[in-house]
Amino acid sequence: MFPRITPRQVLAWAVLAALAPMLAPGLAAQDAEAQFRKSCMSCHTIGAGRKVGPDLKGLGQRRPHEWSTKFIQMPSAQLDGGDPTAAALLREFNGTRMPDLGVTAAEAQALVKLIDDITAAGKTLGTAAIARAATAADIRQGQQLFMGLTRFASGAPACLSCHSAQGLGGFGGGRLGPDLTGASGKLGVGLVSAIENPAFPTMQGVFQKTPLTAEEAFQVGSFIKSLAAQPPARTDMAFPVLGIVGLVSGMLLAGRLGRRRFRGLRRNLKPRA
Amino acid sequence: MLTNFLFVGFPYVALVLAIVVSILRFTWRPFSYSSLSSQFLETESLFWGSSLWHWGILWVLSGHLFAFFLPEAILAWNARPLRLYLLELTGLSMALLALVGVVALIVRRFTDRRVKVVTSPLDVVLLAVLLYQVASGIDVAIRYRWGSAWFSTNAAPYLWSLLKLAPRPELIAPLPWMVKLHFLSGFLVILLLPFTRLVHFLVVPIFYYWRRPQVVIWNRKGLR
Repeated sequence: MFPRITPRQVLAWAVLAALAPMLAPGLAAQDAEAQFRKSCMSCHTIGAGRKVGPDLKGLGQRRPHEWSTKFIQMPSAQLDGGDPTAAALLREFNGTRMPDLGVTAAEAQALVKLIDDITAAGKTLGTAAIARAATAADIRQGQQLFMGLTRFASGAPACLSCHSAQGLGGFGGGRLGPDLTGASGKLGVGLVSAIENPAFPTMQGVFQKTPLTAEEAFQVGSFIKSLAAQPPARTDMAFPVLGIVGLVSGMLLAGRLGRRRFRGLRRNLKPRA
Repeated sequence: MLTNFLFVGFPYVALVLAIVVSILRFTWRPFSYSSLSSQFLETESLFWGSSLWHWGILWVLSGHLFAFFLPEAILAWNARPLRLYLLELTGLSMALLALVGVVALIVRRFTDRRVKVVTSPLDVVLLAVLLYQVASGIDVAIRYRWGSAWFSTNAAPYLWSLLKLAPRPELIAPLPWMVKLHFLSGFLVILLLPFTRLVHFLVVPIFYYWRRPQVVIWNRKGLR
């Protein structure tokens, strides 16, 4: 006969199954290119020109490996520690500081090696920023993309899914992410690259698979920049209010359709008795 | 670590237990597969509780399942803001109906003397979890809109990654805690399914819609 399974055994196996993922070692080290795309590409390219920060092509010839590794790990240490190279870079890039990204020593070494490898192979990684000035057509098209009226070529969801901005109409934009009306003030020159290669964890899972083209990012960025002087959008209250209208309509409908259902039998019999 | 435990380990426990215990319960206690209806004990407030709850929650649940199976279709639908607003508004109205329904059911269960007698501790747990699930869903729908869009882009791939046995909790890890608690209590509902009267969900009696008609004849004389 089959051995009898007791509920307690089922429970024990279930608990073991729950614990198993905790025992597994941390996620395998990401390869350097994925790391570069994730953490660096919103501001840097390798061989495709300057963006917010310098083009990293030939970094190995310009600076000692040790300096680069340390700088990638914690830029603030060198920027604030009076390192002459760091100070010169800061001046060259109009005072835009590279943020500390929490990169480990091993990851920084792998990134430096990746930059060397790509330089040696004569390849490029990343796309250059679009340098032209935004036209009215760019801004209009950016708004269309933001709202989803024109879909992104990759099929990525519209910005409005999670972000609001001033002047969208209707119930406005989403509230999962921040209101983007004043984003150009916060991100400055990095706005377009942040749209093109977002370093925000919520967006990465989505946009790594369905990235925006450089042109699309430029247009959306132009739209957001055009809003810079305006106040952020107010949270729209029509949505919850209309939801309550829907609730009341549903209750009226249920009362109407179901008025004969679930009426106590006794109630009908009693007056007759 | 905590993310792995809550959003990888716990969902698997809930799913595995739900499947295994449902089967075991069906083999060991087939006659317990029931909603244990208390309609005989009280019908008037059951109407408002049960109708609103079931209509509301079935639409909301279908919406979640639709976005799980066809996330691309939801994104394509949402490509027009007006359509997105209509979808979200319908979902919100249905969720509010379900909320009113579950509150009515809870009030009934604790105020009606006869219904109270047949209430087990697990019924209380189940009602509390369902109330939390619906209320948190409404909160998320209003405060972290538009859920239909980011469910399709973040939650659906995460749920699929669980089913494909290659979990990607990082897809939902950065979401706000209110949203993640909604996921957790969702898994808790799945876990409670085979242990409570919620099991009736698996054996909804709808087969009579398409089976051949049965003629029931009362053949004892003098029974009028």
